[in-house]
Amino acid sequence: MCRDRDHQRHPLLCIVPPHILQHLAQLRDPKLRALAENALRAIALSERLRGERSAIGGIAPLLATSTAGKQRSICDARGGATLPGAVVRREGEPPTADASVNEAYDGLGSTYDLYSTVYERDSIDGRGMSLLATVHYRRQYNNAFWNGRQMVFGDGDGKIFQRFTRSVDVIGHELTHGVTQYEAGLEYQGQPGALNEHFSDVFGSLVKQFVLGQRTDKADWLIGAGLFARGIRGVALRSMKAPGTAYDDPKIGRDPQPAHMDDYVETEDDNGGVHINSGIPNRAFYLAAMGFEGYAWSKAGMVWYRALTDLLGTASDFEDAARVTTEVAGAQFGTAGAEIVRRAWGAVGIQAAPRTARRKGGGEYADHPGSKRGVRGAAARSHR
Amino acid sequence: MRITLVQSGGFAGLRREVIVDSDRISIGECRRLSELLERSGFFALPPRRLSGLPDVIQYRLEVDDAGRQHQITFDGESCGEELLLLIEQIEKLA
Repeated sequence: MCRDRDHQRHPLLCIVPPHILQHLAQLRDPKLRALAENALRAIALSERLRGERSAIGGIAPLLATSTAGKQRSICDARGGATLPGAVVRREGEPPTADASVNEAYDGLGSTYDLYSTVYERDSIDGRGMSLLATVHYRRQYNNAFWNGRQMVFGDGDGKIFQRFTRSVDVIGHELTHGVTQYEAGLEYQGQPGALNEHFSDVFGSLVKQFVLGQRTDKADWLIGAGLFARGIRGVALRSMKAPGTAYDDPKIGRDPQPAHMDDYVETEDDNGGVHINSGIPNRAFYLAAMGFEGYAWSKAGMVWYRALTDLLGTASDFEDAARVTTEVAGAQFGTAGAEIVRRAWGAVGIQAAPRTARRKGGGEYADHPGSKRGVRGAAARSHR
Repeated sequence: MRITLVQSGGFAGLRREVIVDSDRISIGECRRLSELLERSGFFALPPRRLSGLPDVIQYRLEVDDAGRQHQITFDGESCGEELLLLIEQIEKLA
């Protein structure tokens, strides 16, 4: 039990209490992190064998981690609400006769591949977490969501929506809520909530572009294309390129997304309009990606990924996002890069104000509640 | 009895408002709604109960029934099955 991955005895496995191990498991030093994770698994296994389940407490989620690369499991709720349901396809198994199962399996894989290949991220939690999805949740369920541990897909009612596994960007969107949960932790309300939605739309769209090998100018920049049932007037649920234009239909109304801060929507519904006001940063990202040209996941995506994983915090707002993405772009791609991002945010009415001159009563973003670390640290990390 | 239901959020972010007036539905439908309101303990539920999970469907439900008035905000993952049955019934009457 007191041996690490290479079967070498290591004091970490023997004497360090679990709460310290949990902290070490969050570190970026891969060797130290791996040692801590192995130790936590050993403790959890030991506790389980002794029947002391309550002692596992906060380290239980680590039992879901995997060190074997991409590990997908697709379950079937068979129209019920019990999660995760029966396992119907595991990693490496051949396709089934169920399109939902295969689409979920492939979409999870594509999302894993984007994060792994481009951003060198090991799964959703950055520590090799197994990917779990359930299809056929409830009956005629018009939704898909991330429940903090796994993805859940409904079949749609056939009148407004078809099955939610049809669009790979939906799968990328939902899994990115998991990434946000483990990184910036943006609270799901108001502007931080709209940023939470925004980052999911960004990386959902990038998964689709990555799968199709599309350059920025060839992408459709739509979220949820192909989800609407026949007869619904709309191309998708959202357009990052032109927020507010995705649908206009008698049954479901008109796409309410604004494309500029002048049209920001104040509402109590939808956690303060998180799916509405995300149109504003969505368009900023589109403009930044067009400014960088090439593949959007490469430069614009890298800048946004660094902001999400290193700089933004639970209460970050649109101005915070504008400021840190501009700074990251400057650190990674020079003055020209910073100018592309600054102009993109400016075009939607958000100024990337210098960090020392903003936020009432607050200091630099590094002191902002829930923020992570300075841009210099982020820029110092390797990137492609 | 007057019931106002506003659905918002979900991955799609669609907003839908349904208003049910007991004067405009059958006695049987009205009785069914009253049963579901009682079974869910609607009038004793806290005004706000949200899971905080992303993309779950959010509901705002307001009922005005013979002097009793109550409004709650919740989502599909933070409520019991009785409340979901009530939502389903209200949506059928739209």
